[in-house]
Amino acid sequence: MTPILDVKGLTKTYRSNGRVVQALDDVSFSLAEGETLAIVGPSGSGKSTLSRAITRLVGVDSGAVQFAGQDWLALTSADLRRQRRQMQMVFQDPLEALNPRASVFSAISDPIRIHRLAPRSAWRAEVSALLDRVQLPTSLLDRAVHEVSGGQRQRVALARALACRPRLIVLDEAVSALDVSLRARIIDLLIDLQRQEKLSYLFVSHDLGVVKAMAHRTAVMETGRIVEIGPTLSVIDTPQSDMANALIAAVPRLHRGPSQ
Amino acid sequence: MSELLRLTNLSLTYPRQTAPALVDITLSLVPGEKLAIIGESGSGKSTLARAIADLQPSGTQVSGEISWPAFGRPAQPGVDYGMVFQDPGSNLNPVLRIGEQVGEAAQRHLGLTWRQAEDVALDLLKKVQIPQPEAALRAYPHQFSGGQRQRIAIAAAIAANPRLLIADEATSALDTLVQAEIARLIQSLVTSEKMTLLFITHDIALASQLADRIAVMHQGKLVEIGPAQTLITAPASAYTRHLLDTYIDLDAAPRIALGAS
Repeated sequence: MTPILDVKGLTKTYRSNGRVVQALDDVSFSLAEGETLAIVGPSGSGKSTLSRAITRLVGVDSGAVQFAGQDWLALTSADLRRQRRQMQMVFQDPLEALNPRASVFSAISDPIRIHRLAPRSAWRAEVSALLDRVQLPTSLLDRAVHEVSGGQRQRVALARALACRPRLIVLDEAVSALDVSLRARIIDLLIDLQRQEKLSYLFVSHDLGVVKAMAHRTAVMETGRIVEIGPTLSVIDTPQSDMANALIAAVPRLHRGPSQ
Repeated sequence: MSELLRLTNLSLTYPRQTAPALVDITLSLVPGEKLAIIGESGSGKSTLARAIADLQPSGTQVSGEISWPAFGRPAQPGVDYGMVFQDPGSNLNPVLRIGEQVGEAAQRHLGLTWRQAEDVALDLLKKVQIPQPEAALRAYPHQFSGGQRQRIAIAAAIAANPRLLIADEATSALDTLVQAEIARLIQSLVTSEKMTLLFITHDIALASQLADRIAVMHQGKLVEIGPAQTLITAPASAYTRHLLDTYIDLDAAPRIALGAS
């Protein structure tokens, strides 16, 4: 299968006050259509820089990204604007990602309008259908983003991403702030959407439990490098790197007893 | 042994709210025990911690009783209990040197001179394992990572040797590795300093690893309280069962079909 995303040799150095931080050090991987790759690692390991480099929110020093058959990092800003809808991003805190005073309707219809994905007369039906797909009632349409609950807001952010009909969604700690029962529902929703649309996910997380639940493969990062990458269950059951071992040991576990 | 803290039919309603944030909470804490209070957003778990620490906004309506049998008087913040919050940034004053903020509680509550308080602060920084503690005394909060700031906040909270440490989501903003370190630190300090721990968290697995007993809050009510292991293996309430069933950890099965990719 040809990959939807192919990352080769990404390198990025931050300099501040004479300090040099190697945020990305020769990072390479690929992601297939319909696949979820988790990026795990401690704070400062470079996982957020990686997702920002791929979504072109930060530039890199060297390396290449092939996305949907294009040289993604070489796109001019005009081309990027047209193409960007194919690669969407959902962040941890939807209140920071969305305009809190916008209505749910405008938060979700903005990309439809901007990318001219449907005629104006169809916007409302389109947004209602998206709300339905993320399991939100259409009665929320005219509510302000800041008025709905945290879990509803994260589903609005997801609906907004889906409105662009993306092929890849970068989920940067997108379920980390949610309550446990809601987290399970959003994960199931993401898995359903992936199955229906052959969506690919780059799933940045520090929560290995959630990674095990939804990622096909997992890459472990430490100080800007991928120190281990493989099928999620192999990484979790037979970790090869010290970092993977440390991350697994640090996950709180429920000792549910022999029945489980 | 006389109870450290007893809550009797505690109810609380915030100003300008009609729905109560706490409803008829009765529980007690014995000296030396580690009690975790768990619940989802809006369950009232942080409200409960703040009510115990007497930190509710003015105009809050409180009924019922909070008593401190072990003291025989109302508890004093800093002296009888210390508190650590979720955001390490908001625990510390950004323009105060570490030595001053850790030493302040010792100076103020133990009647020490500033010179003596600085020695206490140095000891405390060693106790919470801050690297280069002498240099840290003269540094500012922004010069430390989130995990180290949380260690410093813990040092300040225990400076006057309180009997009770209240940790309100103190590890939730940290990554998994640092969370595990801070949880271990809290656990060992509570043992070595003979403190009692009230640990507020949304994470039932973390609670089960750290606490002797777990109290489950839901919609302002205390749903269930019991020994940690019993509560995990044989929960009495449907709500606790639901929390356990939806909890995703490394022992849960993958939710995707594997081999499909």
